[in-house]
Amino acid sequence: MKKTVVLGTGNELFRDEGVGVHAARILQTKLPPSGSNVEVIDGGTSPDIWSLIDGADKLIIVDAVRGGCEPGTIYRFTPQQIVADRGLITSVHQMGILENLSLMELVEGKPKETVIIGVEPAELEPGLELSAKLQERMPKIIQTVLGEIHPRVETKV
Amino acid sequence: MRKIVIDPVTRIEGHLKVEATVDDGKVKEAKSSGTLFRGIELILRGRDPRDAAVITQRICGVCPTSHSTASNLCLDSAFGLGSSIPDNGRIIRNLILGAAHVSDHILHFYHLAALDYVDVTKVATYEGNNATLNSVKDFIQRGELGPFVPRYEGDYRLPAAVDQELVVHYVDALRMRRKAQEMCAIFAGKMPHNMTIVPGGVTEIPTIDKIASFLWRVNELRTFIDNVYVPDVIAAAGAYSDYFEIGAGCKHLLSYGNYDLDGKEADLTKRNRLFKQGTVSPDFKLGHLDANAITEEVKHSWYEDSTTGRKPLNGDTVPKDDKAGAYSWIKAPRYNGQVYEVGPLARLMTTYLSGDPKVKALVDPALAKFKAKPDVMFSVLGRHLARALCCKIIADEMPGWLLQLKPGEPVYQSYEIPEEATGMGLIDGARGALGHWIEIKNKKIANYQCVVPGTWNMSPRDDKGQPGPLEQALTGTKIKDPENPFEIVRIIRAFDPCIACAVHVITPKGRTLSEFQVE
Repeated sequence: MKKTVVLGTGNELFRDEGVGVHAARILQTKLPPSGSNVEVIDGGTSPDIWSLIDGADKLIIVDAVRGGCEPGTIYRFTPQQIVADRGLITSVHQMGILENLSLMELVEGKPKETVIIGVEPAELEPGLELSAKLQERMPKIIQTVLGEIHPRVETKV
Repeated sequence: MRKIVIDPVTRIEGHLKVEATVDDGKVKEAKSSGTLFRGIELILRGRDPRDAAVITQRICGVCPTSHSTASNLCLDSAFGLGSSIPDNGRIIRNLILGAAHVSDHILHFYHLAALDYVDVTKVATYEGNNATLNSVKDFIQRGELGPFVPRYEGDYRLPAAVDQELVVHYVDALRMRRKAQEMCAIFAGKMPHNMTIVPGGVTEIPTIDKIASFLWRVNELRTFIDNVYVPDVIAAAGAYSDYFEIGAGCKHLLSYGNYDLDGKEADLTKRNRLFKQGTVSPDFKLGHLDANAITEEVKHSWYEDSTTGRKPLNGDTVPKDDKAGAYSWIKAPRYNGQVYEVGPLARLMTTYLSGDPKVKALVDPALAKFKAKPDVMFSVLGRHLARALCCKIIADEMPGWLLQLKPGEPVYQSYEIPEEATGMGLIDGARGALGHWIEIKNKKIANYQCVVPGTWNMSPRDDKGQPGPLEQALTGTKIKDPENPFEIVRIIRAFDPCIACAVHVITPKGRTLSEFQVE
């Protein structure tokens, strides 16, 4: 059976920065908790999340993405389609999700396919709640991820 | 005179920025600033005290376990549980924190710091049959340079064969981190944000299965630490031995200690810990830890001057972003009004000076290899060596702790949330002294303050104008090549900065993503 991992990442202390974590929590309630072929991980901002996605056939990352469009815009792309912007790093705290995942190329367990569902943030101030804009978009975000999990099946949220 | 600015990710908000003014080939002045205001304290006010342990883990993706531990120690003390944590709970907390720290130290050395000393790009011309080196070569040839660049060019001194061996270890270290993460998960549940450490102990029970699967992993890690990690640090030190003379810093060290060895002492400054609490002076005198000596000063930080010099429990976070003379969102924590460095070097040296024979038996031969006295530990290489030895000491203790676990006995002490209380949680996180303070009123959080290791080490000048530890370590450093200021980044990285941990939005380079919109 094909294994799919959904990885919600981001920092929920900065509102929309945590959209991936919020989405992961909702998805955990919509999918069977264990024994299924879909695993949902709340990865926070850990540089170790790659080590938690051992042997997935498909990895779906949900994260805040600055793509230049209106807040609430949902993007779908693969890591190969973009180059992440980054400078010289001085701290392990700066290792981004994409380069941590690229390290998986060097060890066993790299997912066969990786897709990023990105959401353009509206507010990144300290706070635990998503902005009204992203709360309003959440059903669509969830539907997009579920559609990615089961690409050929019509999914109702 | 010129300014070198190490401002790694200004395009992503909220990171460490270091500005060094170089005059006549030397750093004349250094300013370290954190560029992100952290409103964590404001988020916590008015909430259920137990939320603190869940929410503060999110401060940092690298150090969630250290925050969870500090926060639960803080709640233990506020709830009056400090002397009644069951042994199983205390030991499982140690095992979770230990696994996280082992993983973190390996991550820091191989996947961040080693790249300052090892020229990974040399592998591009590798012609042999080593499968790992060929996979790295393929990786680089595909243009997957992300983890290795940008970097400075020039001062890479290791012979090609050693370089290649270290690249193989770089990849092995990834597998070792995965093992350590699996160890965390055995007792902490789903990582990276554990849900099992709680006030009063833990919620995970020890079983023979869990003990066994932890044990074989930790033994594999010990083999790696003994045969690969510690020797690699020593090999790098051999080729870059001038870095024992670079980056001395303030030479005052502060440790809160970590890994509780008994659960009966409520006072965290006196509790028997594997790594000892205390201070170290430049002439290696050990001092007792006094939590009342800790204050935070804000003259050069973007906060209201009226909040300066306070003890953390009375601390306040009132931003003032137009303040003259301020240059950082980090406050300046001080101990008795003095500048103190925190981190593995501090906890190794407090433990060494306490006379711990096991620690002496590690530190003395390592120094003898370089015919060096303990004062070389105040340096870039001293910090790397201390981190590696701390990693070994924890890993070596864990099998013994596993055998002390008693399946069937309690892991947790129940409690009631008090109407009013104060609490303090002190622990050395991987990067050093981490303190959480809470004030509870009407069973809710009235105030919560975190003083994290990065604020000690990366602190700006204080009210008296004394520069912080990193600023002092940079000042006076000779810069051979201002275009490639290796000395500066090597000093910064040896501190293992931990403030760049807040915002991780993916920002693609030079393009908008409109073509990838969903509908």
